[in-house]
Parts: sequence; C-alpha cells; structure tokens
Amino acid sequence: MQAHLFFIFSFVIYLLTFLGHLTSLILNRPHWQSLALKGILFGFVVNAIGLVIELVHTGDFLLTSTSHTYAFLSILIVLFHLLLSVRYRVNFLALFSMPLVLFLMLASHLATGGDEGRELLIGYWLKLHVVLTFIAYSAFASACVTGLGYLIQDKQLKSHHPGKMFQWIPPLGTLDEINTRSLIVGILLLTLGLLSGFFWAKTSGGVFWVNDPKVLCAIAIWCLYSFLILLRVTSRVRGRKVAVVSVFGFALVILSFIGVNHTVIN
Amino acid sequence: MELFVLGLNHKSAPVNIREQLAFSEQDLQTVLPSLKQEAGLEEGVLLSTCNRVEIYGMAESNKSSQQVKEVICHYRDLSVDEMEPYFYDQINSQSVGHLFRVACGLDSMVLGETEIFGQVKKAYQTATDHKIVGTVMHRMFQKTFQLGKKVRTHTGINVGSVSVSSVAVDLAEKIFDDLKSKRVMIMGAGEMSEATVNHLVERGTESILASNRSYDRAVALANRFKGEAVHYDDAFNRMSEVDIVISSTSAPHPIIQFDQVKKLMQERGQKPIFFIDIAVPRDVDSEIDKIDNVYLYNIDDLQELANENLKNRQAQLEKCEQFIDEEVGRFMEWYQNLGKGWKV
Repeated sequence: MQAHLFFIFSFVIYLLTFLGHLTSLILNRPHWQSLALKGILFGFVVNAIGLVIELVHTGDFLLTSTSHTYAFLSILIVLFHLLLSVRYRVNFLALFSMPLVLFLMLASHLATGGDEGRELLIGYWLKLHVVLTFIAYSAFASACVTGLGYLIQDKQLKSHHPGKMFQWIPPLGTLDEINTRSLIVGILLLTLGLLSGFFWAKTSGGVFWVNDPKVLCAIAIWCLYSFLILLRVTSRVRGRKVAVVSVFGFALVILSFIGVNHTVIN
Repeated sequence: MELFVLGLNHKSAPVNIREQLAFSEQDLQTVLPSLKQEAGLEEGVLLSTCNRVEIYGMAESNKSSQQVKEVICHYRDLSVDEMEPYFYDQINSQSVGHLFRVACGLDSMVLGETEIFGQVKKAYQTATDHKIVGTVMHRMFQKTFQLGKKVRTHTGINVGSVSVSSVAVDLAEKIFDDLKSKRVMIMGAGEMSEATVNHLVERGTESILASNRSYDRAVALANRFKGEAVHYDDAFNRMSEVDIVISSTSAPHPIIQFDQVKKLMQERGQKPIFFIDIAVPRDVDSEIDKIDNVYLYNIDDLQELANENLKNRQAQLEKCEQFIDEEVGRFMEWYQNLGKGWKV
C-alpha cells in the first residue's frame, strides 16, 4: 500500500513536470525549464523509494511480475533522462521522455500476471540477463527520444522558418551524438544481456528456448539495431534516417514488450 | 540637487561628430576629475561608446549641464556653439529613465543589443575608481544593472539575431552545435560573407578556406582570416573537407549543382553540410535542400528571419517600458526621500 502511494506521488510529479514543460513552451517562458530537471529528480527519488519498498515487500527482485517489469523500465528511463540532461545540459528531453515514462507507469499499474513461472527464474545468469537487457532498452529509449528531437529540428531547419520549438531543442550535432552513443551502449548491453540469457537457459536445463516469442523478439530487435549501428558507424547512413529507425526501433521494443507479456498471460 | 544627463548619440549626431568627442579610457583619467572640479559635479559617470557620449551627473546648480558641455568640448578643442545642436539633455526622472533605456539596449542602433550593458558597467566602474560616484549614482547604477537583468530574463528584447550574418551563424550553431572544430569555405568576396566569417571566428571557428575566381584575391581573403587559399577550380573537390560553405560569387548561374552535392554527400560520409548562399543571382541550386543532411539558406531566407526577429524584439518594447517606468518611479521615490532638503 505504501509503495502504491509513492508510485502515485511520483506519477503526479512527472505529469506536472511534463505539463509545466509544455506550458512553458507554449507561453515561451524558457526560464521555467530548469525547474523541470529538479521536478524530475524529485519524482525519481520518490519513485525509487516506492520501487524499493515494493520489491522488498514482494521479494520480486527478478522482476518476474509484469507490473514490476514496467515499473523498473520506467524508472531506468528516468535515470537515463537525468544523466543525459546533466551531461549534455539539455532540458528538452522531458518533452518526449516523460510521456513514455508515464505510459509505462500506467501499464505497470494496470498489468497483472507474469508470476507463474517464478520458480523457473533463478540463478545469477538470469539476474545479469534481466538487468543488462533493461538498461539496453532504456538506452534505446534515449536514442528514440533524441531521434524524435532530431526529426523535429531537421524539419524546422529545412522549413526555412524555424518556429518556437527551434530554440528549445538542442542542435542536431548534440542530438546525433547522444543518439549514436545511446545506440552503441544499447547494442553492447543487449548483446551481453542475450548471451547471459542463453547461458542461463543452458545452465537451468539445457533448453535453448528459441520457440519462445520473447527470445525471438529480442533477437529481431538485436538484428535491427545491429544493422542500424553498422550502417551508422560506417557512415553509410547518418542524421535523419538514423533518427527515423531509432524511433521505429523503440516502438518495436515497446510493442514486443506488451505483446510478449500479453501472450504469456494468455 | 539635480540629476541630469547630457550627451549625444547615433540619433542626434553623425559619426564624424561623435568620433570627435569620443573619450578613451586614458582620456577619462583627465576628464573625470575636471568634471568634478570645473563643472561642479557632485557625482557623475561618463559613458563613451562608438554610438554615444553621455554624462550622467548630479549637481547643485541647474547650470551644470552647460558647464559639462564646456568642459568636454574644451578638452577636445571644440567650439561649444558648433556642437550645441547635437547635444540633448534631460533632468531628474527623465534622465534616470534614459539611463535605464540605454542600458537595456532600447536606445541602441540594434534594438536590444547587450554589448551596451557591459559598457555601462565599465563606465560606472571607471567613475567609481575616480571616486566621483556617491550614494545616488551608486544606487542609480545598481538599479540599472538589476533592471537590465530583469528585462533580459522576462522579455525577449535580446532574443534572436537581427542581422543576416548573425542569423546565418545562429543557424550553423543549431546544426553543428560546437563551431570550433568546423571548417568553413568562403567562395567569392563581399561585405556580408566576410561579416559571416567574422561571426564564425568569434564563435571559435579556426579553419577557413578561401576561394575566388582570381587566385590573388583568394590569397588576400585567406590572409585576412589566417586561412588557406584554394584555386577556384579546386574549390568543389575541397568541399568534402568543410562543414559550412559561404558563397557570394558573381557567377550568372548556379555553380553548385544537385548531382554534385549528391555525390559530395557520399564522399563525406553523409556528414551534415550547411550552404549559406548570399549571392544574387544565387550560386547554389535550390533543389539541393531536398538531400538529407544538406541545409541551404539563401539571402532572402536569412533576411526574412532577421526581420522576424527584429519584429519580435519590437513587440517586447511595451513590456520593457513598463518595467522601466516602474523602476524609475521607485528610484525617484527613494531619491526624494533622501531627506537632505534637496530641491528636486
């Protein structure tokens, strides 16, 4: 119950921060923006306390329940958001990352099930697998967010009549840098995450589990991002196209997330 | 006691008059003490920039602005009568309002420019060093600086560039972020393209390539910016190395074509490139804008953005004046309450 209150409280903080950010954009009050970072930091602390209480209470450190999975992913995205905002001194991210976080928190609230296979899910490989995959997905979330920013900024520049958003969103160069780094971090962690998953499957009974939709989705996602990063680092594509794939790639991540959890429940 | 401002600026006097009366830091060493002794100023600050010479002062008699005029004209060996038509003076609340307006950039040639703020600060500092600033001027200038900050934060008076060259550089910063590591090629010569390069250099660009149909002129241009001269025929080949191309040649047809740029983008690994086409007739085929990671702005695009920004600044004027009026009111109230029996 206590954990629940913390979640609701942090949800409200994120929501207010997002609305405040949007309002300041509409009313053109750039100096409100620095408040967004403080708001999100506050929300993050509340959110983290809630999650810790919840996990301690249920003992579900491996995030086997669907609800916890969403909650954990959302808080990781917030953490990424904070790190990037501070490192690159950008405020605009909240505009895109907050809706994503709010959506995942809502999903976490509504989700049920997923606990059935808990006795299967033991071992260090699994812990490693869960953590690595989740951080990888948050990195892809940040690539998606910067990709969206890139697409908007590119459109503004090409229109020859940049609007209000233009001042708000960082330069293409900054967005491209965050995007590329996020993609590289994401693919490295996802690779390790998948490998640890295979090791775990092997040690816990020798099944490779290729028929599991979760595994198939993960491999498909890995292939997509690997291909994108290969093209990017060899400079065959750059800029707008990378941004588009970053956005669609993450949409695929979310869809597979929802799809897989849904099919598992059924 | 009376507060006053006496001066001339870009609106009241042409440059050939202003330059005769401009005071350097060194001049102030002599002028400031004589303002105190000969013109009878209790307190005073002398602001001298390329667009204005103004003396803000406080004095017992209401003749002091006339005496100030004599002191500064005398210092420059100018006849007071000849200079008379270029001067303006204001007293008390008007003079305070004038200072506020000047410091906020509302009286500047480029509305809302911020350089003047620093110049006012420096003038105040110099006067303080000469111990010609007392309670009143001290407060008046502190209030000026607070107001300047307030106006900048709460209005958009200094937002957006208002000249073609600085708009171009702003756009470059929105594309590349850090301009330090970027290379620029300038093709052809011209005031506006050179102003753009100057702005880029101010923001840190170090590497400049210059090209011109006449190689000698390319060399001269390159020397001016400590860059490298490039033969005109070789210019396109070298474009794969640069990030910004400023073009202002007098060629009658576009010299940079769609197919060329398409190929160029492959060579440069799709790295973004920004074409600033200042030439009329245009140097760059407008179709290249459709290529990914290629950004093209011509003179009209840039001028339009500059005009829009200026319009936006003008729209903020009313709000600025409101802030200024409020602050003048508060300051004058304090001044009148000083209670020293001054006749205000």
